[in-house]
Amino acid sequence: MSFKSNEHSWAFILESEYKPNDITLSHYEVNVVVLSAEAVPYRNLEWTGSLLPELDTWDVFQSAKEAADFLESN
Amino acid sequence: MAIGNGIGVPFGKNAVGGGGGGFAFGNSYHFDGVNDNMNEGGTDSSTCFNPFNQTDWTAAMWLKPDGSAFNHNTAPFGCGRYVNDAGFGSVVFFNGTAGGNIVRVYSNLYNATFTYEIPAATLADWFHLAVTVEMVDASNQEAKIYINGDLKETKTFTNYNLVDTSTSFRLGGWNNSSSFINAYMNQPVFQESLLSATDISDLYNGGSGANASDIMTTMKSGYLGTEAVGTTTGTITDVTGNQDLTMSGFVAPYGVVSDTP
Repeated sequence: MSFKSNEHSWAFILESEYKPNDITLSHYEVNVVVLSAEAVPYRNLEWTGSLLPELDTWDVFQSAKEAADFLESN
Repeated sequence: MAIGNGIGVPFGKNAVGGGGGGFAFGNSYHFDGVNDNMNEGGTDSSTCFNPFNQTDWTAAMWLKPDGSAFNHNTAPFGCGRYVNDAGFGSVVFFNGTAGGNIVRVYSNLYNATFTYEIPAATLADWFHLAVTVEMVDASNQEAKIYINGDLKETKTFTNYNLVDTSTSFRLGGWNNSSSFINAYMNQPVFQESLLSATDISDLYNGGSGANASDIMTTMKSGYLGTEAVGTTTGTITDVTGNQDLTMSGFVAPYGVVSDTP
């Protein structure tokens, strides 16, 4: 999957696997915990701007619908 | 007349929100369907918006899906949590296998529900949703769904109890993040009393440009959402100061859009 830069993006990782020191916090406008449909806690980042390689292990979406579907299916 | 962002949220028994404002449609809020919501904060029953539980109440708002329909199982507002299909704390859901084109009103039991399928043409633009619940007596409650000022469905529930009060009230979803709605919203109104069909129709027609001051004189005192609302990730406050909602998940420009009913 390829991503465009300077777009609106959402990224998810299991909260248990979230390591705040591994990401550039200032890059992300939103950093919250969300619950999936199965009530699994995920760390959720949201931002507008370029993508950073530090999110290689995250599920990243540049469509709100796809991001919402991710929560619905997990 | 004050023209604001159209999302002042009157709460409580008196639900005062008029304050000389009224039909303000200056801006709307955009909920991205992923993490955007506004919530009371807190987790105990004392902070939950109680009118959904064992009392007459009315909820109304202008909505437009961001897309062809609402995402499956998303809610414009709610107070509660999902409990393994055995219970929903939320009041109103949009769902349906073809997308969230069905408005569904829940009781505290998953199977105690009633629905109205919103036509695609209605979902293609702003529409006005209103839900009322009347406590007919101690055991029976009559719920109604209005779309664009018209009564679409009526159902009597027994021992209706919509709210899991262990969580707080949210606008744009409920406790479960996957319920966060993909929608534009304007003029949400919540009132701990029953609005009549005429009131609902007037609310709808107000959005179509009717003379607000004329309508206000026919209404119960000030239940209308007015201006207010910050454009930061801080706290939003309705003009009366009755209730703050904390914005969560919004990125600049914090959900504020000029698209209005």
